[in-house]
Amino acid sequence: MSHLGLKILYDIINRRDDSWAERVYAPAADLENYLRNEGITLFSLESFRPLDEFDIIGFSLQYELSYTNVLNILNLGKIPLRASDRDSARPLIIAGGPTAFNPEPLAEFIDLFVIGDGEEIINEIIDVYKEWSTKKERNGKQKLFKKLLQINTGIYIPSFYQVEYHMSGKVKSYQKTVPEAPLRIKKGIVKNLDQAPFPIMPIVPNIDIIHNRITLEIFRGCTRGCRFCQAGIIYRPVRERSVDCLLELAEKSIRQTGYEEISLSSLSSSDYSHIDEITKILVDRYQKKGVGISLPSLRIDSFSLFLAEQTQRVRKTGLTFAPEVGSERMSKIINKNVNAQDLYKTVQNALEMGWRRMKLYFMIGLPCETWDDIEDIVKLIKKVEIMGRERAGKKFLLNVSINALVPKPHTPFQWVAQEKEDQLLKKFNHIVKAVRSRNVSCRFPDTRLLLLEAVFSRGDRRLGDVIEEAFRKGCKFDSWQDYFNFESWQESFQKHNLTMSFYAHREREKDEIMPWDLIDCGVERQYLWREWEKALQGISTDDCRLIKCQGCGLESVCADTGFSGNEKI
Amino acid sequence: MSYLYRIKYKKNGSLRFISHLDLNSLWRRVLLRAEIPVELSEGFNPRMKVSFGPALPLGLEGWQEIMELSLIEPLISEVLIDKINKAAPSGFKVIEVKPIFSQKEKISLGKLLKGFSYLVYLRFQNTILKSKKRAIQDRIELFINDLLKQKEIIIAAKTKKGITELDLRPFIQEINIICRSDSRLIIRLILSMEQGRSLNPRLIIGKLLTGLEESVIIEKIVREKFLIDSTA
Repeated sequence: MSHLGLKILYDIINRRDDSWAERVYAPAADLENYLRNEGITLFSLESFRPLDEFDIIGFSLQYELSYTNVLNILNLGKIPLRASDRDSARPLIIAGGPTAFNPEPLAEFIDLFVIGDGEEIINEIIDVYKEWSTKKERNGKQKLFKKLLQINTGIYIPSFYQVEYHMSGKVKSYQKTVPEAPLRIKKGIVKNLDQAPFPIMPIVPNIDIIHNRITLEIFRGCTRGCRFCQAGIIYRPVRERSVDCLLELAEKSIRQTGYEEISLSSLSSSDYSHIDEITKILVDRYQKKGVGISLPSLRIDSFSLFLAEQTQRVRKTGLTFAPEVGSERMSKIINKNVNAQDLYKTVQNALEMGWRRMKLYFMIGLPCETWDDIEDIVKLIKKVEIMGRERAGKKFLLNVSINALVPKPHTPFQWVAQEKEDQLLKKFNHIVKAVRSRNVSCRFPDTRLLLLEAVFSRGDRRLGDVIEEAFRKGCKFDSWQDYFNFESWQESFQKHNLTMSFYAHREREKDEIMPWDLIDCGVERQYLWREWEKALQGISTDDCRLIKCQGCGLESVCADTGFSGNEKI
Repeated sequence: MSYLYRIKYKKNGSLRFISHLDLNSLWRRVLLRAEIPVELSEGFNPRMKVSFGPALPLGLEGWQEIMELSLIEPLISEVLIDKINKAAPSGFKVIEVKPIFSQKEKISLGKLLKGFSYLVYLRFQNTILKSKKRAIQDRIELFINDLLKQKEIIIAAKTKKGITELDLRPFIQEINIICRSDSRLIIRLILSMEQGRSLNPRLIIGKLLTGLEESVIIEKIVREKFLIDSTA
């Protein structure tokens, strides 16, 4: 309900005359028990229709630890879990979203993955499905699948590929089982966002939910090139909406929804070419009407602070910065070029402007990280705390959120071994102890969750058995502490003779066949490898929008979308 | 110049599960969608000038809820009703709009409010035999008469401070069975405010249905209307 991608697709389908979309979510334990005890099939929220009566069911895959929920939803919908157990009378099960860029762990359960932007592909899928299903004999899924292959971009049908493994467990090969299947699946790319459909009439919930506001996507993609960041690669190239288009969408959305807040959303809002212009116009137009503007994902600099100041006027809520690391050396390795001096300057400015609550994000467990780098994080936190205390005393509140690197597919760090949990825990604890103060609160995640996330991020098809096993043992909502059951996961891996360590802690070879090699995100593997080598040498890479094209492989698409480097700033 | 309106509206169906706090934002969004020229507060974070009557307990329907809003230009009542209802979700409907002109009328709702009238819809479990239904209905009727005769009705009530004793009797003005059929029973409860406090009708219904929980289902509870002191 909060997720923009779902709202976009929901809107596109419901604009059609021949189809409609409804919502279903993983139910909490009390509802699940009720459904199971009464034998009620999980149903949609709009018309209370049982799940197994739908033609197509689509899952949005935002996070690896939601995979057991996918199985639970199918099961509560009285739909067989495995694609091979479903005949053509059953709904077509599709999935998309960021983690579909490594679809393999769910390959046994999902009929078809949509890779990349879904705005155009979803219509094509429905068209093909409609043609197939109106013909009298709904003759076989194979026929439907082959027709779907003709869509050409963004369609991955796992059952058309067979995987072979080496004795070591590494992938040996992918073999097509039908000649029509593509060698690699190109992701879908919407070329012009101004012309892309946007939901100006999203569902407005009657009770409060997270992100309960208008979300205006100002641009898609990011050119910063932080080496740990998957979104920065898979959403390339950068495509901006024009100011005029955004103003029109804002006006229509406010009229239709009555929301009192607009959030300008993107991966790095300060990088929008006309961010000051759009912010100023929206604030001038709507603030007096009681509609506020919010700007998440701001960079650390005075310009961003100026923007934040504009939108927030007097009420100073929190400011969030993500330096990620504490030393210049590390910042070059991850290619997030913020230095401590910039941060201090911005913090000082913010304090003078009256901000009293700040949040800092850090990431540890990075390649080439030493204890000195951990000490640098400590120093940075302490320095900010001292600055805050000097200015605001007890009123200053600093929230520190420390995370750990989970190496993701399609990133320069896809070859890296995740750091072991005991070591991560040592580092977390060290930072927490070192910065303990009444003004500072520190948070870090459960290392066992990080481990599982790492496993499924870069996992292969064999993990399907493990996920099903864990689901049968009752695993669901794995990222929720009150549900998480690590022992069941351990047992499930054991039962299928797999280890978490193989997936999480193993460094990959340069030319190793990766489970996600079938998926072509547009950025070439050689580019990622080059970036990895540069990381090891501590060399940063320029932003292709600011300096020059870095040759990531998307050059022709960039030209096609009207984007070229050097065009601004 | 601002123009004050008192509005009666209905909140029923699945909207009865919307809390008072959520109702507040629901109202603001409806007013924004309907493009009603609501007066905004001063300051950097302007808020619509709206005020609400006493909160409806969660799960109850309200058939004549009251709220007040202040506009920057006058609107004809019918137009206001029409605009709001077109922008409202189902289960939410304005039924009356009254402009408030005089200072005398501007006395706050809280001061005028004397109590509430509730309707309680009861239904039998499917398994109950017809002959038994009558007996149960008789028993509830007896209970009501019995309750009304008592000088005090002490129950243990949960409050923020823990469990305290509460006397229900002073709140009870009337309890009547207004409909009695084979399938259901409708009871009207008139409860007054006592020292600014109101009573959740569930406390009384719970008392009436003691021992009958297995056979009777509370279908719904409705806050039928506000009792307003007309002499003030």
